[in-house]
Formats: sequence, C-alpha cells, structure tokens
Amino acid sequence: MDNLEYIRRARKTLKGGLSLGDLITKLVNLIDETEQAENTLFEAIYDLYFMYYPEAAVLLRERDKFIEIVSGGVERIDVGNALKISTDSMGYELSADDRSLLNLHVNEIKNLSDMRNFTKTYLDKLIHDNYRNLYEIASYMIAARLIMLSGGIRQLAFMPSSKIQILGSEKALFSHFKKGKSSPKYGVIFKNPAIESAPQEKRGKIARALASQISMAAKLDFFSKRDDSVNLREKLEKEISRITENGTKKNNR
Amino acid sequence: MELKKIIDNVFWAEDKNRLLVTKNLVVGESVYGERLLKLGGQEYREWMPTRSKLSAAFYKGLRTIDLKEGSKVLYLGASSGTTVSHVSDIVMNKGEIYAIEISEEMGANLILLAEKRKNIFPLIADARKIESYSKFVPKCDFIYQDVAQRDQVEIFIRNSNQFLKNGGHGGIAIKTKSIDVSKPNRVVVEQTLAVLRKHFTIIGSIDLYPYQRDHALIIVRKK
Repeated sequence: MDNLEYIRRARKTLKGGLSLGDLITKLVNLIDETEQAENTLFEAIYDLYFMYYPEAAVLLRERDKFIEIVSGGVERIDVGNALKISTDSMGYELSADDRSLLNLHVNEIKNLSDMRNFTKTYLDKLIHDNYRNLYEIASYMIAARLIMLSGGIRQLAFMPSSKIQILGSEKALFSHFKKGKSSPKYGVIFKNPAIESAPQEKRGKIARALASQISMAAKLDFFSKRDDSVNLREKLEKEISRITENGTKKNNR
Repeated sequence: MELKKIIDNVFWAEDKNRLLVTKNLVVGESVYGERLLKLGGQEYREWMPTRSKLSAAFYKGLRTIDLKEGSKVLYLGASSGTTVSHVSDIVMNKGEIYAIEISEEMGANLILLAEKRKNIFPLIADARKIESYSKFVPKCDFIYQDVAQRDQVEIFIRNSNQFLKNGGHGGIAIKTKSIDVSKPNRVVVEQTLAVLRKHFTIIGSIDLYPYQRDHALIIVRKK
C-alpha cells in the first residue's frame, strides 16, 4: 500500500489549518522579539557610549532618542552640536577604530528599529483591511494581541466580553484564584489610551465598557464583515463619558 | 563493536558502552541529526534515550515488545517524527505506521519524513476525535501513544477499543506532571495503572528517569 494518498491529504489539512490569525500571531511575536533585542543591544551600547561621552549620554537615556541622535554620527562634535552642549568631555578617549566600531553597532540597532516599524505598519494595514471594526475600536496592536491570545478571530467572536477584558493578565488572574488577591481589571486592552489616561478608580469600569464594544466588533468582523465602527465608537464614547461624569458626581457628594 | 539483537531491527551495539541502534531503512539519511554507524556493511542509526521515550525504556530494562517486521502500528502524538522514524526502521517496508499529529508545525516535519519513508502514513488530526480519521486507519497490531495530555489515558483507551486487534499490545508514554502536577510520580503511575487494568492486562511499567524526567512507559495487552 502506498502512502502518497495520505501525504496528499495531510498536506491539504496543513494548508487549510493555517490562517490569517497565525500570520498575525507570528507578526506580533516578531515585533516583540525585535523590541527585546533592541533593548538588550541598546543597554550594552549605551554603557560603551557613556564611557566615551558621559555628558551626552546622561541626556540620551531614552532608547529612541539615543538612536536618533547618535546614528547621525558618534563623534563628540556631531552629538555635542545636536544637543547644544560642550564638546569638552571628561570621558575616555576612544580611538578612531573604536569609534567606527561604535558607529556600526548604533546603525545596527537603528536597522532593527526601522525593521520593527516596518512590520508594525504592515500589521496595521493587515488589521485595517481584514478586521475593520476591531481596528477602529481597539487599535491595530491591541486587536492583533487579542487575536493572538484568543487563538483566532473565530474564538474571539465567541468569547464573552468579560474574558476579553482580562486576556493577557493570566498571571494576575491565577494569583486571584489561588491566593485570593484582587482580581485583574484589564489585560492587553490596558494599552488603549482611554484606559491608560483614566484615573485609577475608573479604569476597571472603562475597561469593561471597552471590552464589551470590542466583543461586538469581533462578532461583526467574524460574522458579517460589515463596517459598523462609527456606531460602535459613538456608543463607546457615550459610555466612557457617562462613567467619567458619574464618578465626579460621586466624589463631590 | 558487536551487535546483540533485542527485537527485529533493534540492537545493542556493545563496545565499552552499550548503544541502542536501529537498522537504517533509508541508507545515508540521518533524520534528526543522530549518528550513523556502519557495522558489517550495514548502516545503523543511533537511538538516543534523551530524545525518544521508547528508546529510554530499552535503556531502563525493557527486554521485549510486540513490535516486529511487518507490524501495523497506530502512533498517537507523532510530533516531528523522531521516534516514528525508528519505529519505521523496525517495521520495515512491509509494515505500516499511521501517525496522528495535531499540530500543523510538527506535522510539516512529519509529512516531509513520510515522503522519504514509504511506511509512514501521516494524518493531521486530533486523537480525541476518532471519527475524523477512523476510516483511514485499519485494525492495528500495536498502538503507541505519546501525547502528554491530562486525558491521555482516556484517549488511549478509546483509540485501542476502536483500532487495536484483540490480544494486541500497546505502549503508553505518560507524562505524570501533565496528568496531575501536585502528586508524586509513583502515585500518578499507580492511578493510571488502576484505570488501565479495567481494559487491559498490564505487562510492565517503566520509570524513564534519568533519561526523561517525570515520564513512565506502560506496556499493556488488550484482553
């Protein structure tokens, strides 16, 4: 008996089993891993640069700013002019070879950073084209992470909104179950500016409102593909303003 | 180096240390980076106990197992095909291995392996959903399971009820930590044996330490 028929069938199953959700999951992983690599490299390069020109390094603690300024040229003259500080430094004198080595490394981080941004733009477009409602309500990165954590748009569409609200906070959730700590109020949806900028005591309520609209959006995207994001947006904003106003009245009382 | 036969196509290559080897079905091909040995004009593949639970069982004293040339085998949880390739060496071209694997990524490796070894029949399916592959799998002489799931014993029982011939043997590699993480190794094995006794005659149970941590291999015969 020949196994060719089995191979053909298995190949078909494999092809059918992979979906857009898998692509999104892999892209999110790629973005996260690239960012981690950037941070690790940046720390090592930063230490090296601190030795050479501590006055500038103190001002460039942030990764993206550091890369932006230093990738223009690592020499004290270039960086000093860009930051408008004295080029007379108390740092160690690196030779020309050392400086060109440093330059190569900084450019490498810049490449990584550019690549990550490129991937992000692509992911943005992917979510925009396929999951329009989720894109408008949750923003592309949160939508992508929700799809990744739930395992696909189908699973997300069938998920209760209370679970969507805490997706990504499994550690806190289990310590709540096991050790009786307070329950988590939000998972990956916390990155949404509406929650992030809200005062501490309202975040949970806003997270609940947002999760319910995300749930609606996911259902729309999975079942009908109809773009109803304007409506959802409006509902969400109404709900959020109701929550914020309610709270202030309570405080005044 | 001299060869000592254990079962068909499986040998101890005895030198200073003993080394488990299988006769290579596809000469010149190493499947997952294992060593190839040439002994007396015949090529053998090393079967590493740290990579394969069945191999670890031989190292821990498994003398015999009802696998022979021409056997039909149902293999649940084939993964990328490390152990499958050695079972394929054992049953040779006359035998058939029906390899079930759920994960697409692992399945890709398995399919590529099946293209080289004509006795492997890959099926990308969930071993819990027997009806999804039941018409592609005949009655088998041997069932081997390595799935590391909480309900793996139940999966094994249902599959052997459907596919195993009466009196046929089966091997279950159980991962005790995925059945119950809070109980010690031995207790979980005892519990599993108690469940299996209702359906099978237990032939043996082997703890695979130190080659595989928290694993045991149980050999059963269908009543």
